[in-house]
Amino acid sequence: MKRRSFLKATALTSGAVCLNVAGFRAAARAQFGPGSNPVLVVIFLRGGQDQLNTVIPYNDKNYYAIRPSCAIEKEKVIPLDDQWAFHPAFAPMKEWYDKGKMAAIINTGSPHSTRSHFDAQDFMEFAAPGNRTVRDGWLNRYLTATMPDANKGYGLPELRTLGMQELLPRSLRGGYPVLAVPNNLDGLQETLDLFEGFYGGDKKKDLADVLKKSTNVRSGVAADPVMTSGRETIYGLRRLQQLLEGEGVEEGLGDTAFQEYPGGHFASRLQKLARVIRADVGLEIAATDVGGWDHHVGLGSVDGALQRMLTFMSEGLSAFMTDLGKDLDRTMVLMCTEFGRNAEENGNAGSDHGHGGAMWLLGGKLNGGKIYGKWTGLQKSVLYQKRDMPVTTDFRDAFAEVLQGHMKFEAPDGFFPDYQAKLDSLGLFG
Amino acid sequence: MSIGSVKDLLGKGSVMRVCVSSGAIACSLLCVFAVAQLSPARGQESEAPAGDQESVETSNYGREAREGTVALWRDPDKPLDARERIHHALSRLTFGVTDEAIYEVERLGIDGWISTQLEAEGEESAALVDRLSKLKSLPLSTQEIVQQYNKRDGNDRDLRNIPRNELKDAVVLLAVYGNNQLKEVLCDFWRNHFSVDVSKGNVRFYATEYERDVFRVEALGTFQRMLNKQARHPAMLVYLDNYISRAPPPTDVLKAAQRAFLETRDYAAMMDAVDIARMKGINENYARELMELHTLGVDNHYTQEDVVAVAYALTGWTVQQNAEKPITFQFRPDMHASGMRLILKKRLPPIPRNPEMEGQLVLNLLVSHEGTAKFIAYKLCRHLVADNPPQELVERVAEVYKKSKSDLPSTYKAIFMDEEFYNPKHYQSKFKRPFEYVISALRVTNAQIESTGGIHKALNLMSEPLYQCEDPTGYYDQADAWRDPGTMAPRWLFARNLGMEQVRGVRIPDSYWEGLKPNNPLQWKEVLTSRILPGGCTEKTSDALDAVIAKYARFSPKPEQLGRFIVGILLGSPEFQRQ
Repeated sequence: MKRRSFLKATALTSGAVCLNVAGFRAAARAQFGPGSNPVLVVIFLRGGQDQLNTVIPYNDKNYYAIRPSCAIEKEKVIPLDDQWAFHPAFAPMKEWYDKGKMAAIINTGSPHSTRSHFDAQDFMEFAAPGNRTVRDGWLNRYLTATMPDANKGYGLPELRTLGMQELLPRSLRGGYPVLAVPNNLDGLQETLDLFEGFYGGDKKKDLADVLKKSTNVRSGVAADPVMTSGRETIYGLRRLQQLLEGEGVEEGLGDTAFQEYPGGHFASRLQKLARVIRADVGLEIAATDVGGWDHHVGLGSVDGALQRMLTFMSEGLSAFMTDLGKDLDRTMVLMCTEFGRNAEENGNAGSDHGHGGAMWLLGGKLNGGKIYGKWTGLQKSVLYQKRDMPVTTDFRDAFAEVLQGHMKFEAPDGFFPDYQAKLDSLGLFG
Repeated sequence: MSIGSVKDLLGKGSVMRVCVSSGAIACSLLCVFAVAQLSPARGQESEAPAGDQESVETSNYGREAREGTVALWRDPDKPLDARERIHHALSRLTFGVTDEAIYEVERLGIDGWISTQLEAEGEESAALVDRLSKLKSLPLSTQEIVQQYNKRDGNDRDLRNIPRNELKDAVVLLAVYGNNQLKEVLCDFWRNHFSVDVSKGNVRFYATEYERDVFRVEALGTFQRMLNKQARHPAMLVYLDNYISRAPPPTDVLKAAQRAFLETRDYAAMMDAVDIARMKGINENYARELMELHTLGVDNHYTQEDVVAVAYALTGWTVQQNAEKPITFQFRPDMHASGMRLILKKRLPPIPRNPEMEGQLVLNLLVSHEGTAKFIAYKLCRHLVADNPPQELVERVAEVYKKSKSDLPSTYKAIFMDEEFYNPKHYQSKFKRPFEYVISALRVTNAQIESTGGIHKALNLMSEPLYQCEDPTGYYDQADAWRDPGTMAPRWLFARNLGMEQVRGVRIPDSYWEGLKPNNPLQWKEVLTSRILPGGCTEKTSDALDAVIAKYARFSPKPEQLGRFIVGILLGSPEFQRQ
């Protein structure tokens, strides 16, 4: 539970950014054909992911100088070009990079100077650095802003959004109801059936009716929020279970069989997501966290904590991308972290909290196979406060470009509080 | 129907080996965890709560609540009746309304009961004391804990997590079985207010004493003393890094050390560089949270300059971590940066003869600050009254905090004795946090806890593992933080499993089913509903219960099975999510 912003907000700030969504939705759907819509999967790497040992400036002697024990030796890296190389544990990602389905943005992050994990995470997930009154996550704001208008007869997509963990990441919190999916769904069906009568979920009821009710709650009209939460739990998890059991998937399967995934919660969440995306039932936004990047000690070189993290991440993601098959084009994965790590290693073969870090993009109609962002080198004089990678790309510019280029949603004024995002500054889709 | 005493709950011979000889020793060892007073007589007959009938009749489900959180089964404008007032007080001031607690409040009156809870510490049952005495690390000093547990035993078993696991067990057992329920509720509040995470470094060894000396003593003391104690406690000093905060070393020394290492790549030079690099200077972490989370509230009265100045004032407040000696707070003059400081618009002079006092003056300033009075009053009201407590109430409580010089029982009373506390719009308006939910479910079922693994597992699944909040904010107590769609699923699983005895290590005692008539499902429903939902339930819940009972009864289960089934459902009902 990390809802620090609750402390900080005395008044509820409206998450609803009003705009006409009809045009947007038409554009989004037109791009991918009828019934299919773009999907954005956001993975938050909690703890401060280390850019420098993941996308490595392997021809820069400063890199080896400031990371005497942690640098990856030149002959062990996976070169991308003359300047950049991946960590050897990122080998599965290289394949996607070469196919143009993967890219990194380096030296990105928040202009705010905080090195506090929870402040920096809040600021990024609310997409409002330094602003402590915003309570709705940036993905929730997107969902609210593009909410289908039930009264006007737009097709109501089911499971429009999923939080793939027990408690929602902050980016998904806010006024739009989002289902938090437990890791373990075994035996749940019976329990959902048992409690259905108490919370008013009804298998036969029209989906639109269910959604309408929960939407009304958000506008403060009716119903008890405990009942609503229960109803949404029953409806959402039951529908999810059906999809995971294969309903609606076979026909859409087409070109690939489902992949083998590695073990662990992360891969298992991606596997569930792949099924839902392939079933094409209107999922637009999903998010999950991967914690454990705070490597003050034992970041390591070819082996070590970072290597272990990158291995399961890249293996899971690679299976996911393959699994998506033709739906990969309409799916985009965005991975971000609250800040990068200190350029220099510390005394414990690790690295402390830094500033600029990397963002990772996969899939979609991405113009991949490129390292985006402005690299300024590792000389002390250009480092932020003489110690960290500077931020040369505001993370909101990257978010805005993904929303526009992939989701066909141009963030209106106020979507990023106190900030006018620069569109196309990176050219991710150009 | 026997209202299981704590002894009943823990008893059942096979579970508890009552160790007579250790009782007295345990009592003295655990004097802080379990304090003395005679248990009052307990009601032996079921007190069928009178209002069950009434609440069904007046239920008004479907009425549009003006605020989404108002309990829907009663008219939100109607003042609470005597029974509802008792139920309300007990919902907020205990971890679950039991017949036994209702009986006591009826005997003493609500205010009398509150005073007893705040003034005299009731003795814990022998069974609980005995149970706690088996948690061997509980009464130990931090030094003893480190000496005995920071290692592997003869069989190469890692002992390091034993103290923290025993601490978590003690917290659960006291919350479920403790007679001083109000104190347990308040300890839970302060545990989250001055939150530490046992996953961080040596905090796992320090938290036992922290809970004992800071919360269990000072929850009924003064805020001043609690603040002073936590600021000096190794658990907090390590958790928020103040133990490494120090006057920075001269830059040339730092640079020379780094150069020596980079040039020679020599191990000794590296270790020197590491040592010197560790002397980085002030660490603002604690200073910031001290004001943001512990006293003034975020961005309230203080600035970044204040954070830096407070961090400097608290340099040298560190921990003696060598297990050869007592592991305690230590003031290190060599790490302290003395100086004239401007903090919260007040000038604090250097105190060369007693530099530790420079940090203490900051704490004194914070305790008596207007902002702290309001913030502490606000947080207490938020926890005990409503997610958005009325401003006027907060101000009245803040006044009492100031007048009483941060005396906590007076401050709590200002909340409980205020008529606003009984405003019907607060009735059943708080959504239980997972901890509150799980503990209350265990209490109302008289659960026998043989081992706690299943309970902790449930808390983990509900994202509230004890003493492991990742952020120094502590776990939030507002509904918004917990009530996402999907989060009901782990609660329902726990409810169902508890009823069916499928929560590992936990069972409902046989005595719980006594007095239930065979072949009379409706009587079962009535009795169990009044026991688990003494505040009543909506017609919808009642009807839904009838429907599942009818469906289930077709399989002609044994009466006890049906009872388990009903219990599971009631614990998962919308009403039981609230307090």
